[in-house]
Amino acid sequence: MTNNTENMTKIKKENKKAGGLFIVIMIAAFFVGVILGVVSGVIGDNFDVGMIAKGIYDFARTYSPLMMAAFALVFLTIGFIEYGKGKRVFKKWDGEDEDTIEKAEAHISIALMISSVTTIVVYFLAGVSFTSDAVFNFNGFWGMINPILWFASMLLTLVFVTVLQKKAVDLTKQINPEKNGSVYDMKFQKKWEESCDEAELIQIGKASRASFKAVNSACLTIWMALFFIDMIWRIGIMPMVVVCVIWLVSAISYYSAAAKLAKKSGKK
Amino acid sequence: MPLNNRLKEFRARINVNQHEMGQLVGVSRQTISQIERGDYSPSVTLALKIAKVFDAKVEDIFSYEEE
Repeated sequence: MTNNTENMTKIKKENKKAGGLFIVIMIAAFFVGVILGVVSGVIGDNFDVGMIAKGIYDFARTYSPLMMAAFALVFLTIGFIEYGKGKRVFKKWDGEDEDTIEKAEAHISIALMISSVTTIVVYFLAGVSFTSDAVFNFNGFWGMINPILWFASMLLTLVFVTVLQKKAVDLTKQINPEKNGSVYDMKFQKKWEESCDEAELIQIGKASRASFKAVNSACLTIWMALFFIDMIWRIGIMPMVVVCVIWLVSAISYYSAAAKLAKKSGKK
Repeated sequence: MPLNNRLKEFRARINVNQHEMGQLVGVSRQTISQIERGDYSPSVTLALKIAKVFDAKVEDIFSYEEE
């Protein structure tokens, strides 16, 4: 009972210490929100935002497939260069020097990150191309070129991202022979995780936690931005629905997994 | 947690590299390297497995010092 009383005192003390600053931040955020709301309203009433939207639409209609192709080409080239650097460093490794192999693994990580970012950005631009009617309008020079650019970019991105990921994973497996799983396998992530040891699983946990926090911050920021953008452009509820669904999935999946793991650790 | 270790010294005695050491105790080369550098403190199970490889006591390889 004494321990619980001491614990409650400690909890109250911590809340009191942090509570003051929390209230100040909430009040400041309220006033910032009011100001942004007023500014959004003024912009919406006094500027021809339709012209800006039309400008963006026309630009996307003409150039989004080209942007897809350019982005994929540039970033996949960088990805393969990073992979190549990792492979060259690995070949010089004597099996003991940790600094050397850390450099190789850093290059491989960059290559893998580039492959993921390229996929996401190309998919985004593919959607923008369709929405702005860039792909099937067939009018003029860009109307004829854009369908080719669009389909070629999508296909080549899918192929080369897979190739880059396969090469990076295979090189990682050469460095760490105990790792299992093939990129082509639907159960790759499960097999890879099962071949991770205690230290690697802790790293995965820490990275997942960092990702969860980043998604939380990003979703809150995007929600706020969409809230004010809607005042100007009347974009509708769909963007906010999408962001909040992602936010919910992230929060529910994280806390469900944590609860499940806490239960499991109690079993012998 | 400050956990000192003599893993590298013991490993040199039986002439195994980090990858081979990892294979003997069921972890990756990277984990062995992290333990040797003091970046990772092994679980009790892993510490016992390591000690068994060298036919030594856990306390001979790992020691804990208050900061």
